[in-house]
Amino acid sequence: MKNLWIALILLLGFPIGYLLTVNWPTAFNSNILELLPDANDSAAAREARQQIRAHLSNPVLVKVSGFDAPRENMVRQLRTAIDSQPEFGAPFIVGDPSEAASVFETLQSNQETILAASWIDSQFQRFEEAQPETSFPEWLARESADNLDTFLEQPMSVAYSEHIPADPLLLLPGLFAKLPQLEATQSEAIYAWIPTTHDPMSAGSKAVIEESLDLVLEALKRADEKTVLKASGVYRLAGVSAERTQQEVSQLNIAMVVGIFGLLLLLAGRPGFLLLTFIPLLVAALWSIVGGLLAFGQIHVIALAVASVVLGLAVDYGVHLSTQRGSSSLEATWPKVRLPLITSCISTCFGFFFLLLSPSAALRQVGIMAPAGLVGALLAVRWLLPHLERWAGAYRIRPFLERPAPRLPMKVRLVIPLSTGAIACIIIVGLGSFDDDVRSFQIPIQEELEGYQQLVSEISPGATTNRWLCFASSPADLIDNLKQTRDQLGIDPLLPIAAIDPQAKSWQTFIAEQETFTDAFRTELEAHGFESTAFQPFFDKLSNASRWQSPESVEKALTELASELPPPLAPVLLNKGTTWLSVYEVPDGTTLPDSLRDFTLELSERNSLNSALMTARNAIINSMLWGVIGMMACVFSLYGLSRGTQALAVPFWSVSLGLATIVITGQHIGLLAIIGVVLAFCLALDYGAFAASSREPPASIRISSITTVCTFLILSLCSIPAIAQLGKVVASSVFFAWIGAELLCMQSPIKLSKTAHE
Amino acid sequence: MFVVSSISTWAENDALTPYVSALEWPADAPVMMIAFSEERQFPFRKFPKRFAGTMYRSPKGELAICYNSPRAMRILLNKDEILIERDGRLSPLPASSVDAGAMYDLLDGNLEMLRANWQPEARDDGFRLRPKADSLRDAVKWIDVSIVDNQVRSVAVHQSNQAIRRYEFADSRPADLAGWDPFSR
Repeated sequence: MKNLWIALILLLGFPIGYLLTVNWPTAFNSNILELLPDANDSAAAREARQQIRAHLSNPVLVKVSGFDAPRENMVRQLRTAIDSQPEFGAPFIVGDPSEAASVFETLQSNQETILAASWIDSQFQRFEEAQPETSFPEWLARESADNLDTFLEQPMSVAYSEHIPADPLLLLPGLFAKLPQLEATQSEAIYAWIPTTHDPMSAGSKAVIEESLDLVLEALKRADEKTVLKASGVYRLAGVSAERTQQEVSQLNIAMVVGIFGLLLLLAGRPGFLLLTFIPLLVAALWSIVGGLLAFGQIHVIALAVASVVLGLAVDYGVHLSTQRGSSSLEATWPKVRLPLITSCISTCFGFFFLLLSPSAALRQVGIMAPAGLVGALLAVRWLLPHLERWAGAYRIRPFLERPAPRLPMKVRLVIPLSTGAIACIIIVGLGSFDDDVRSFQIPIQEELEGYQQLVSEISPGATTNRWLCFASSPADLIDNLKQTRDQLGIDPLLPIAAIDPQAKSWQTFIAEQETFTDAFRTELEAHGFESTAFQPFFDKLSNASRWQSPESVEKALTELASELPPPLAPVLLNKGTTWLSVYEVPDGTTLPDSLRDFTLELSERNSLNSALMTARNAIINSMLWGVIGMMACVFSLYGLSRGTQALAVPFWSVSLGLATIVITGQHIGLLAIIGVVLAFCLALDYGAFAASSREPPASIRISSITTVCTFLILSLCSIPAIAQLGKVVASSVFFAWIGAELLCMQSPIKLSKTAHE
Repeated sequence: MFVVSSISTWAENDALTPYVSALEWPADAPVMMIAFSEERQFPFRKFPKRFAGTMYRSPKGELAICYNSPRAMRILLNKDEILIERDGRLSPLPASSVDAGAMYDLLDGNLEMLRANWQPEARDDGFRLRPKADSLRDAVKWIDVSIVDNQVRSVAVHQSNQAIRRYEFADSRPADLAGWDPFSR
């Protein structure tokens, strides 16, 4: 009785007491980023990735349309409505003239440093192609005066006229033509980029942001009832993904529990049997959650989904003890199941520990949660079930579960597993291929994703999807890195300052003949009808041209530019702390060379995450080989050579067939399939161990395999493809493990009886 | 009632008052067109640049200024917004141009906005508008408007940056667009 109380306190009292102290709203985490593996990046690259991710995922993208009121009125209304929402920062309205003006002022004060050198370089290339008889300074002076004269015919010259004496080379008007975000939209709709004070990935931000958007729409409707507001952003993708994942995890868990107990009731016929299987399940669930919270502080909903398979295993432990009882008591039955149960528990925990090698934080949590639950379940079977026997009452397993299978000749029993095993190996080796796509780890939210992509393409038409991120710890290093990129790939970064080398022939020629150019330009301006004296502001700056590209000028220009660029343009030059970033477009199909990897990342994380998945998969396969050797040593030492070989034959054969089943259905073998193989191997070893130590057809294996296959088949219905594949691999492998165990139990009862008593 | 009406009449009785009918467009006016010529005198250039074209005004108050000399070009002018067609795309002016609003109010005949932002002074053949706010004064010194035969005939914008834009207008008449939309975006 004393042991019962200790067991109750330890197995049920402690976890329940601990869980009562948990702050449940923060205990579960549905952040989709934590489901993704960590990329194999350096610390600097991770920092850069985090900064650009924070910048790009922050905004709420809004489209306002359908109104009849004047567009400018609605823009004003939109700004006012957004300003009144504390969750939102100042919006960037695409194509609004005031946005262009603020960028203009920032660029204007640094125009020579940022723009002049690259402009001269492009003019020098034109000069070399044209091969005129005049010198470069004279040619450049005439071209510049011609361009200025033509520019005055454009209406924008009126507004720009006060800047022309300081910018007769027209550096700024040329740059603005390259910034589509600052051009007026041809649509009547208003597009806004709204920064939010909420972490878009955090729980609840979708609700808060949507509530604010409702108030913005309400204000707009007061100006024009017909107004329609469409919004999207990472906040919405993350929110919808989290909602659907939580909903699906809940449904899967309920389906698993209902499936398991429904089957048990069907197979045992009496509710009392359910009590003996429910208690290990309850303890496993409690210990699993407590283990996860103690080790990690938070549990990811996907970890909860995968770890819920421990429920099926915990039920198995109860089933193994309960079905072996016969006419004796559970206490007396324990020695019969002790060895296979402990062997199974140790080997299964060993299998789950492999998940600690997973690149995904969520799956690493399963590596602690599942073993904690299994150990709890085993202790519950040993210390609680015998005391519950009196309440369980009488029960009897359905006779067909204890009926021996039709005995097959020895040859057949050998030929079937050997031939099917060989075919499975041929299929795996011949047709199997490894592949992982990070998208298979996410719940499909196609409609939301298309809506977001549509809005992004409307705001930034023609933006390519292939963009790279250059990072550095200082502005000078960033420029150097961008120059290396340009020299190596011939890509022209959007940041013009990076397009010039101070040692370039064009720049050296310009600096060496600066005085010649000054005189020639004065002459040409006069010849074109200009008052050359009016351009003194420019000529004053020109006399210091050699300092335009000095490190001090470059640092000042980049620092000011980074602090002033509006959000949609900020990726061109982003500075956060000591991290400097620049995003640029590369032609589709361009691969990132190793020589640039130290300071370049692909903006799309898909490739790098897929690479991380591949690395993790290979690491697990390598570790798995050592794990199998460890398990084999464990089994041989506990079972001896003969029975150990029989016990191990079941997992090797069943897992081969299970994996072949996946390959035949045309699926690539992914990371979670490999993890599934490890789990299935442990489960199959459990059956092999019981079959090898039993002289009768093991009803417990039949019940266990039926419930486990059911559990993992339910998991295979998951919308997240990687988890569904894990379910399929384990379900098919466990099915074949059951067949293997049946074949193993067809040996001579006398021989088995002997070995059982040895 | 009489007192209020008198105060209102006195307040609006300024240099613009004689030209209300010349400035305002009839409420039921269709799309109207006016041929014009323009001279731009820049302080850094010895001779003005000359242009010619047609201005269109829609019943909604939009203005489209279509140049045909020395080359084709189109400008859409709305309140607080000036868009230029370049390579088939509309782009805002990169620098803020506060006098675009004044030109719009003047050409659209928006007396309320003109009185709010400008101080009208009488001249022999029209009036002069001087900016009230510093932000306007930074861009424009004054605007001279000449009115002959009850129609705006010339406008000269004296910019604070010493540039001067002079517009001469022909008679206004209903536009014959033949399916073409000068206000299209």
